[in-house]
This record gives sequence, C-alpha cells and structure tokens, in this order.
Amino acid sequence: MVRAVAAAAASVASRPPRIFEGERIVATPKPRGPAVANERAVIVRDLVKSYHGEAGTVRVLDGISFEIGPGEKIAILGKNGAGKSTLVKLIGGVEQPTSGIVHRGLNMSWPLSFGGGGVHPGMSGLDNARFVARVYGKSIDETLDFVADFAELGKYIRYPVKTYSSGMRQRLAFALSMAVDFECYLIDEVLGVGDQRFQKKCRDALFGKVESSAMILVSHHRQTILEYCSKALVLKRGRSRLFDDVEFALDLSASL
Amino acid sequence: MTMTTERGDDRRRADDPRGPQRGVVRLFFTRLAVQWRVIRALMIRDMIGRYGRENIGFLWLIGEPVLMIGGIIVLWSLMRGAVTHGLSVVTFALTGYSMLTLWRHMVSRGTSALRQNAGLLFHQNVKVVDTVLANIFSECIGCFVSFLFCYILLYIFGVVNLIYDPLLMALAWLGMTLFAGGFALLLGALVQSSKPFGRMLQPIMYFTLPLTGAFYLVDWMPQRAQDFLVWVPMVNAQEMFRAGFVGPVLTFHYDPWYLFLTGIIAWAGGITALKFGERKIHVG
Repeated sequence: MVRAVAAAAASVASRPPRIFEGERIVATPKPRGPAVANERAVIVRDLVKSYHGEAGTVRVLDGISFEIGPGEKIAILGKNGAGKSTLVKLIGGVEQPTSGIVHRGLNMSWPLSFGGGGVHPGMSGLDNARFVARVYGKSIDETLDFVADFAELGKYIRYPVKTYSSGMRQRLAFALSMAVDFECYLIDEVLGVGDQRFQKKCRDALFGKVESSAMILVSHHRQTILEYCSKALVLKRGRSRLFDDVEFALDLSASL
Repeated sequence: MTMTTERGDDRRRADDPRGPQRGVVRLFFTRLAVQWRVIRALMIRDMIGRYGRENIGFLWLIGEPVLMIGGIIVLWSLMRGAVTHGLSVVTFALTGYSMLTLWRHMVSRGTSALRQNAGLLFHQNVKVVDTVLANIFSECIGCFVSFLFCYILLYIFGVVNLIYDPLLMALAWLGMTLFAGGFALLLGALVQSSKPFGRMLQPIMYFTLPLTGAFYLVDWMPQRAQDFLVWVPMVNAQEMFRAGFVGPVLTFHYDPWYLFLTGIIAWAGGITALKFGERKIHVG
C-alpha cells in the first residue's frame, strides 16, 4: 500500500508539466554566485528585466550574460524590439534589473545619442558643458574649450539647447561625451550625427583617439562593426548568444 | 538583484595598500567628495535650468518665495489688523509663511525629483539620492535666504523686532528641513512605486497644510487639539521657529529632540522606500 502511494507520487513528480502553445518553462533561478569583486571589466551576468503592463508581465531580457575587459569592443545586434535599448538602459544604470548583475568596473560613458545624452534643454551649451565637467571632476575651462571647438556651434553655444536644431543638439551631445576620457563607451546608434563631414569627425574621434577604450556598440552599421568589434552579442526575444566570429553573427542577425 | 554601486573612477584611486582599515576610511572620504561634487553640480544645473540667465537669473530661487511671503504678509495684515492674540500679525505671517513655503517646496520638489531626473542616472556618478538631496539643499537654502531678505527689509522699516534667539530659529529650520526631506523622499518613492498613490499626492499635500502650524499657535488651541498637535513634527518646528523669533513673551509648545527623532525616522523610512522605488524607474 505504502509502496503504491510512493510509486504514484514518483510518477507524478517525474511527469513533465504540460506546456500549451505560447508557454515555456523558466528554470528556477540558481543561487547567486559570489558577487563580482573589484574586477576591471564590464560584467553582465544572468540579466533579467521584466515590465508589468496591461497584458501581464513582459520579460524583455531573459538571462543575458557577457563580459568585456579594457579595450575590448563588442557589438550588440538584433532586430527592433529585441531588447537592445533596454539592455543599454540597464548597463547605463538608469533602470535596475529584475535580477542579475551589472558590474561596471570600467569608467563608463553615458549612452551616446540616447535622448541627446542627458543634455538639459533649458540650459545653454556652455552650461551643459560646465555641468558635465563638474560631475566628472574635469577642469571647467579645458572642457569648455574642447566642447566649443568640437561641436562647432559658434555663438549659438551661449543659447539654450531648446533653441537648437536636432543636428546641433546631437553635435553638442557628442562633443560633451568626447570631452571626458572614458574607459568604456556605450554607443547606441550614434553614427548618424550631423552631415557627412561631421560624421567623419565623430568617427575619427571615437575610433581614433579612443583606440584603447572598450566599447559596447549597438548598431546596424555593418561596416563599422566588422572593422572594430571583436565580439558580437545577438539578441532575439530577450535571449542572447555571444559570438567571436563577428561576420557570422552579422549574417545570422540579418537572417533572424 | 545585486547592483554594484561604485562611483566609477574614484574607487580604484582609493585602493590603499596600507591595510583595509585605512582603505575603508579613505574610500569613504573620496566617495563623499565625489558625492558632494555631484550634488553641487546638480544644484547649479537645477538653478540655471529652471531660471535661466535672463533678468535676475537664479536669484528667482529667492525671489519667488519673497513674493509669496510678502504678499501673504500684506494680505493677513489687511485681514486681521496689526495684532492678534498679543502677537504682531507681520511677525506671525513672516514666520508662519516662511516655514510653510519651505514645507511645500521641499515636498513637491523632492517628490518630482525622481521622475524628472531619471535621465541623469546615465552618469555613473549620479545616484537617485543625489538628485533628491540636491533639491532639498537648494530649497532649504533658497527659502532661508528669502526669509532673511524679508526679515531684513521689515526690520529696516521697523515693522518687526530683532530676532530673540537666532540659534533656536536656525535649528528649527534645519529640523524642518530634515523632517520634510525625509518625508519627501518617502512620498517620492511611494509615488514611483504606485500610480494610484501619485494621484492622491495633491489632496495629501493639501490636507497637511493645517498641520504645519502656520495659521495658529498651539497655545491658542483648545486643550484637546493641543494634545494632538504637539505630536505633529511640523508644528514642533513651527513653534520652535516662532519661539526663537519672539522670545518668551508667549508660550510655545515644542520639543527639539522629538523633532530630530521624527526627522531621523522619516529619513530611515524614506531611504528604504527609495531603494524599492528605484527599481520601478522607467525611462522613455
């Protein structure tokens, strides 16, 4: 009798749960490993982010992991809605993950191009530059000189940013991020800034001067990725896969 | 779940080979220095961003409350005559409305800080609590300077007497800042984590107005009301502020230690709530 009950229990336990269409099993989270120590790297481990909406909880990111050390450049590929922007927000630290670790062991930039890079529309270009200099502990005079030179805004740098055209705003944002020396740049589709000539200037500044800095590049620009990145992370519906063969990853993400 | 929260560049500089104990102390001070730098930058950004550089510029931070306090002083003087219950109406309005302005500004700005400044969190050195602290500091200083401005003006024209105990007043001001700051942090975090609560914020703020003690002295109230009012931190701060202003001519009911204690409790609750509210921040 007892044995029969035990056998029944065992058969219940061993039976796989029934899965309906559109459902999937999410493994129970493993106990967290030791926290990341003072390592000089950007480490993303088992990152999960879900949002609560009208139609229930949406898991936008589901267990993303990667790691980049100083000087390494990684491309993040994926279709629209694959979770790239969410990943950028989490790495940038503006939103907190539902679970998982983001460790920023390198001196990280704010995401280039995201909403103009945190430029305050009510302040002039100069005041924005002063703010960045203060937050990052740079010399204010040097920062102002650099930004004025790079952004090429002329006298308009004294006007509030809300009066700028979108191109001028992007130029200012880009100049601000170049004024601080970061060890890791977070680049979110920035390479369409301004006109041809200014694009070239940005490209030179970004990939020339900062050759030694690490980079997380979210882009669709095949040429740039092939030229600079040594790894690629392909995102699809919140899941990720890391590739060392960038060309293969590009082809794969194009076929997704 | 864990989020490493180093303040970027300064962490490595603080690695001290001379032993962990010293390293920890130095780490604390370097981070404190970074935090102060960031808060200062945020305060300046907030002032310039809000008032611009036109006409008197960021002096509007002082000018706005001065207009409010001045208007109220004129209005109350017209309504109530020169003296009520043995207290000059100008003194009553000046002390009452300065405190009330501080309370209203602190809470409304503190609660909106989380929503408005989320984009700034992209800067690795800027933490949520810094944006709230910057707001709290600038409001505390701005309102106090506008109080001083009004006071000096009125004193020159001989409308109010010399302050009896400046230290007591300053302590009352700081006590109010402490409590209102913690309260703002708590409300801000709750607004962030629950939408219905955000809708209730305006009524809540409105119903706290009689509890700030700006419109009466506790001593004027019936005994049963007094028994309740002495437990309200804002009333304690207000009474203390007035006691410092007019001196022992009238009876005031306050307990500085109680005010301080409630301030600490409000901060403890506020920071805890902020830790949870932080995770609900959603940008764009």
